[in-house]
Amino acid sequence: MRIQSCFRAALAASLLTLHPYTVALAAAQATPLDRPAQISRLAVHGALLDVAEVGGRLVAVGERGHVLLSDDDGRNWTQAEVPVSVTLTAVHFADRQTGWSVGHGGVVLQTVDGGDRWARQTDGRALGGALLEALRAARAAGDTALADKLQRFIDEGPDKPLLDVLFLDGKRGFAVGAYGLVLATDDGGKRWRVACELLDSDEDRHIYAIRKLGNALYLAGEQGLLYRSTDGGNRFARLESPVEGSWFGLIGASDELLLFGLRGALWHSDDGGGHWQRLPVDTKYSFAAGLVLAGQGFLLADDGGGLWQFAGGGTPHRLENGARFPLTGLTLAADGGVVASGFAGTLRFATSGR
Amino acid sequence: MAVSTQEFESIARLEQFDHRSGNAVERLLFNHRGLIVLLCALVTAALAFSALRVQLNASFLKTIPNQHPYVLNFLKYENEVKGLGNAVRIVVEAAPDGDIFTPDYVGILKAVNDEVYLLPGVDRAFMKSLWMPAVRWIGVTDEGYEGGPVMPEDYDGSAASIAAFRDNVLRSGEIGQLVAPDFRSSIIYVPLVEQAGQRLDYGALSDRLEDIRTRYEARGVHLRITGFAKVMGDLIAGLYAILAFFAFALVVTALILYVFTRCLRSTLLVIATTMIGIVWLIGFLPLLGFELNPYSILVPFLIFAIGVSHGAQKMNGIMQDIGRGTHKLIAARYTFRRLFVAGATALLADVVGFAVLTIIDIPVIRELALIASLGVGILIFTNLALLPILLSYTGVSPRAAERSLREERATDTAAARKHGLWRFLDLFTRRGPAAWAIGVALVLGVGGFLVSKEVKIGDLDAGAPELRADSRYNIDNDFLVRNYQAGSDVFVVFGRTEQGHCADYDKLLQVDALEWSLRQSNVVEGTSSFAGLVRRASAGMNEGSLKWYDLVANQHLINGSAARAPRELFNATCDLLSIYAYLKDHKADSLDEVVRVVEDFVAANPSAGIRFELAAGNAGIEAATNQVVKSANVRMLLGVYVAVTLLCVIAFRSWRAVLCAVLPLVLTSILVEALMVGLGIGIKVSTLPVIALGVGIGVDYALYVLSVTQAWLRSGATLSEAYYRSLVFTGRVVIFTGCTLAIGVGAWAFSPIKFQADMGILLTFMFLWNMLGALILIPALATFLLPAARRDAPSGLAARSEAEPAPAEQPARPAPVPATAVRI
Repeated sequence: MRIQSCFRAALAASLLTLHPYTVALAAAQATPLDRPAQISRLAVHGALLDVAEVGGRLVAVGERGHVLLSDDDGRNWTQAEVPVSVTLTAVHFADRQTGWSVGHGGVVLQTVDGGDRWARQTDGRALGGALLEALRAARAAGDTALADKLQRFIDEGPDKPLLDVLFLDGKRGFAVGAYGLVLATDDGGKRWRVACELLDSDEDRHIYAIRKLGNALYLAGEQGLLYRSTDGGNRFARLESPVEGSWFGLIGASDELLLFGLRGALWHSDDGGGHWQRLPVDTKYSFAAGLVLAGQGFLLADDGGGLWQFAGGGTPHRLENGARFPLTGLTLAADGGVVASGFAGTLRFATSGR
Repeated sequence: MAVSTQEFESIARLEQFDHRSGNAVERLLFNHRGLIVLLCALVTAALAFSALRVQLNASFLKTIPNQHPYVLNFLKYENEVKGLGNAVRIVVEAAPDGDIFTPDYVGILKAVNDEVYLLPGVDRAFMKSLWMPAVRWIGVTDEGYEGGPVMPEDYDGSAASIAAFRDNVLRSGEIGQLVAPDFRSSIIYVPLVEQAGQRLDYGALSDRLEDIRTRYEARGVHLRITGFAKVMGDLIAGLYAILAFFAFALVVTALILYVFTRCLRSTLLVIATTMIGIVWLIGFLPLLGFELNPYSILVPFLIFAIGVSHGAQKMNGIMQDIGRGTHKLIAARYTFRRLFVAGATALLADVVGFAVLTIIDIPVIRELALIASLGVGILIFTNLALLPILLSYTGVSPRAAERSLREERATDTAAARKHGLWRFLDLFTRRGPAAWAIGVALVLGVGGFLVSKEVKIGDLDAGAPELRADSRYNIDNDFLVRNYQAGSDVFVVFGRTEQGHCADYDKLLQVDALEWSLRQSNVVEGTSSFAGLVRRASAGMNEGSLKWYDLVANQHLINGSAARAPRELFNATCDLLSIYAYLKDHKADSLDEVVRVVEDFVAANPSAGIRFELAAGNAGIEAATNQVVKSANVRMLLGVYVAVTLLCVIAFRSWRAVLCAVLPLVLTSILVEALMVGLGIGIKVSTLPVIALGVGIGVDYALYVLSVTQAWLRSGATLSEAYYRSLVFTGRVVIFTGCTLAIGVGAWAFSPIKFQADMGILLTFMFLWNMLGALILIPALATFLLPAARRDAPSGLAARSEAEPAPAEQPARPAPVPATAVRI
């Protein structure tokens, strides 16, 4: 069942339409966007949704505004102070000090000290102005499809999660999210604008990943959503998706791409997404994260806790050292080990051949 | 109370006796003694027949405080949100070399599941196992969100269907709940219904479960069964072992009684009348609608011990009269005349101890108190009236009678011939040893008090503390706790909203925050609630992408989850949410901690639109029980001491004497709590009554010893003389009583049921320590508190003015005391 159709049909009657950007909340009640993350011994065993390595440090983000830091390659973790307690879905660093994390409620957080402290750059409520601005621009341009989409965002309130974040340098970055939401900034996030016009006007599918591979930018998402930009993100064009299933991510280097997603879908391209070949994998689980291993092909993690290795040409094979919980993110630690984030904490292991 | 030295005429020939003498009750009983015996025989036969119908059972609702706000909430919401109180968990563990993904295991699981499903009392709609269609998996496909029963509908034992079953289990969310993370066992969760009018027979249920266990264990699997019903079943099974202890107590008591009297006839008679009293008691239970439960099963022991000690007194009097040559019928009547009021008053003092227990709002304790009161009431007839009547037929053995008289005469002669024990106890009437005794008691009292402050309320051990740590039940429970997140200790918090608003985002936000607060606690191993389900379902409805794992501020998404939510998370009218906290144990501290977390949360988060109410689940109910027990402990001790003090005031009419009687009891009460700290026993439903019983029965000793002492003091004797008089007359009875009671309950220490063992140890301690207190501390305190007695009562005449008329001898020369009567 797709939730969106019924979601939209019932929208007119929704309480949420009473006032733009006001969820039906008791006035006095703090929402997870206002409540700082609680420092908890449970954070290291909780749901983590992404992990990144920067300057020898590992940074993992997850539920309830948890940000975990490890300075010993994933063996021990400490929790950072974060001003929100919504689920954080992705983390990305532009350099050793500067990084961003995005999450539910449209929140964008920034750190300028390598992850120790995080400050809010914007959230779904603060984006109201940006949305109105984008709406005016769309109307001025006569793009009714885009205007309708932006109007819906305004009507529905700040419930749209951001699902991934990418910075090309310290200034220029993108955050992507549910229902085709795209945010962009040119000043390191001081000011975020709504940049849905970069995609097709009526794009309303979830965007799960934004990646820069080689010189191109790629978007991958729900129901075969696939875009590519070859001009540094000024304009994204649809790529032909080999199937209509949802994509949760893609990895690669220059023109060799690996696209992965729902229920074991794994496709390979040698020409930057022009043509795709299916790689058969015997699993019902969905691939959630991937990692390029220098000289050893690719590593993939699925939401059944399984780990798969695929060296160019062969078929992917399942590694023994999986997790008992769904995996969500992969990164290479400074010591060469691989660290995965997952539904019940992190997992540290060495890849075979090392 | 007054003690008289009234003497009755020794009449050897019945014809010389005036049958119209004595009071109306005595004439009624003894002038129609044939009829009375016949009536008693008929009543005994009828009640024995009735006694056969007595049920051994236990009721969950009876062990909990029914007026406590938590329990009221639980009872109010019980029908709306099922399975919160009383459930059995059956863990089916695969053969040592296999896991749950084998056709053998799945087949056996189905067979066990189907048998359990049909057991009486099972709330079938809420039963859960891998074979129940209500247990579902959630998954994602290219088309979106899908789900189905964990057990494939077309399961046929083939490798393909086993593989499908395995996949479903992995994505069911039941790992740690119904399925062990090592995939070597799974749970059949069996909620039980216990409603008025259709009582659950826990004994029979447990037998059926044991039968299932035996048959399927023969097929290679292991079955582990936990839950209140199983505890009660095991307790009921353990009750049969209790019968062996009863037999032991009976034999040992009879032996002691024989040594005390040296008369087989009267020994048997005392045992027989006491047993008649117990038959009557048990016979009355079905007529009054009572059942015996694991708590009240101990009452017959107490009644037996109390009955025998009072019977022994009767016999003592009759023997002395017969020894003096009085006809047996007349001796019986004399004894009745002298001791009926005294004995009845002493038994009423016991009743006070029991009656105070009824202020505790826990039905099993009330029942125990009522049954015990009834039992003591019956003893007033059987042991104070029927026993003398029967003795009037049988008499006593002449040699025993002579011996009794000889002993009594011997004690009348020179102090130089005092028995060694009496000489030792006499030391405490001197200031030096008395001061020492009081000093030691003070040190013990203060030390004991400091230790007793550590006494805990509630259960101190994990598992079922009713049973021993190495019992099968507790081994099974330990397995469950180690292998499953959702162990057997569940604490439920209710969230009350307006009708239809249980799924509102802002309400769920608060539920989610409370759930997270609970999970911060070290005693909480896991939680579940509708808010938690929405978090997961949000991912489930977005193709399983965990990036959606949050309580999304999107009412439509939440409503979509509500449609698939299990029934235990909120009720049909959508105004009640249940938040479950799975605790690592149900120790009192753990429960306090959980209650504190919830109360702190409610205080810190003034709720808008949702009201959090405590509590249900076995742990929630136990938290309520602990609170009731804690407040009841103070009130009960106050009540029992007020009652005992009043009784002593009436009996002694001297505040100094009251202090002498009550202070040793206070020391015992303090020390028993210290002992509980030392033995790791908490104050709980099973041990609370013990403290009251100990005081209620303990005051008997003080009454016996002090009343005689006080009377002799008032008639001008020195304390040493007076105390010696009291020792040779009532002191021996006190020692006998202390030993009989201690043996009667001491045998419980070997019970397979832990709380009975605890009760036995505590009661034995209290009976023996009260005995020592009465024999050592009373004279020691009297040395300092009652020295002025001589001035209060300068002559024996003054003493006697309060006592029975007809003085018999000069108190200044109190040597010959042919028959001393105690009147309380």
